[in-house]
Amino acid sequence: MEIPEDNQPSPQERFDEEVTAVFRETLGLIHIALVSHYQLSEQEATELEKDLFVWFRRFCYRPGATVRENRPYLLVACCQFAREYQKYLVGSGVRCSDDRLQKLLDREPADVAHDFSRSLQLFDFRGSDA
Amino acid sequence: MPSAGRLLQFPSRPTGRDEIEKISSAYLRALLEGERPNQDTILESPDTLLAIVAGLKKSMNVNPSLVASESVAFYRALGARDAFGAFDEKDYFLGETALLAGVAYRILGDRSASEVWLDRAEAGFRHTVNPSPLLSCISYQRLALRCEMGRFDEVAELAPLLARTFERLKMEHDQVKCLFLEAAALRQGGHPEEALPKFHAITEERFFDYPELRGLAYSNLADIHAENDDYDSATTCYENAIPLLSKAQMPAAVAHLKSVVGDVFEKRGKLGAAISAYQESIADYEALGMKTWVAHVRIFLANALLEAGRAREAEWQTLAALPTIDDEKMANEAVAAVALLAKSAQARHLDRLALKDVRNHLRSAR
Repeated sequence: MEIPEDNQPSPQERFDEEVTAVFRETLGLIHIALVSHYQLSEQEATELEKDLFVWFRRFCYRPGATVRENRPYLLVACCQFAREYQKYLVGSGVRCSDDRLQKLLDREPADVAHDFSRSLQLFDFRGSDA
Repeated sequence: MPSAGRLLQFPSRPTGRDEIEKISSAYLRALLEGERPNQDTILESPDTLLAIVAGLKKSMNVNPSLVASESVAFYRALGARDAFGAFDEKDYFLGETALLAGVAYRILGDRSASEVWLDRAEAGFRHTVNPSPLLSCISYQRLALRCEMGRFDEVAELAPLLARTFERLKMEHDQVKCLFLEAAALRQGGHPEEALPKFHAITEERFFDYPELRGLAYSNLADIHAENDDYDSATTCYENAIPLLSKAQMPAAVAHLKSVVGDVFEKRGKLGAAISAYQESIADYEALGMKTWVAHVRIFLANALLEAGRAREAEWQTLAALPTIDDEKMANEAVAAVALLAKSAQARHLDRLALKDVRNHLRSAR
């Protein structure tokens, strides 16, 4: 049966679907970064992830990379968001910091994200292997 | 949980796509109708500003004056805010609006304003997450400015290097723009034979998605053929160029084409047709607010009028053109001829030789 043309997703819808798909694929890693490394609570991480998605969707309109190629920048933004958030809480005395968190907060988010990007490459490699 | 919004300036939840489309279309329509819609509403939502910026980009060739004033106003309003959007978005939108202003001022012929706005765009983009593609777009605009200032050798050398950057970034449209700029620089720098294959390459069907570049390439090929007195080939190229440029909504390019057609008619001795074509071109450029090009074509028109024995009208056109030629340093290498021309126009006895010198200088820089 021929599919009517009206049912085809528009380029805009395809773009939105790709952004959502890429974000979902990266979400596991983002969650690990936020909760395990930057020590955010589950609820805090969920809130940050929502805002990160809103940012990422607009970011993908910028030139110079496909949606998929933008994943490393998504991780940079994730680390930057989390770092600023925790620094604010620690600095204002709302939260105590341990050595591990402090070391992470002292590092540049781009460097931390770079380490996570290696994990992304590993995921990709495993994906292609499978 | 403490309010993250105070620290990170999180975005508001996205407005629905239909609503964004509605707001941005209404805003752009109001602008084109001469109204001054309230920018504060737009600045409530980064999604809406993104749509407006895209709309302004599309309007660039049709109404550069409007794009210049709007993007400057957005830039100022954004700059006055403590924060906007999420993460790097304030810097990004400052860069985008400044780049829009820089491009618009370049098209309008205000080179010093263009340079300053491109510097502001760079200052914004430097702080974004992935600055390389954005900064490369600024590099392209700076090269285009250099080309307009007659620094053709530099442009011919640097454009291929920038094209390679765009190739790496998979920005094909910008890559082809660099090829066009290289060809334009070669042509204007006195190497039209080297420019020909590059322009021909741009007209190929594989660049179907870029009618503006294909149209401009045909227009340049037409110019080269006309300069070689091959008017039949020139006419064929003009015929290919016009539908492409119209499709791409490029009134500035169509205005240019009319001036070139005027030039061809003048060379063939058809002065009446040449004068009409020049007048149409001037009217189009005036409607677009492109003052340097208005001055440019006025000198061509003055020459044709003088040849047609309409000396008084030629004086008016010359006197109207000279202030811009002086202000915008359009004929730096023909200062003596410009001075002679000004003196003769004021004395109501145009110096034919000086007029031809200035015209030839402008033609070579076209």
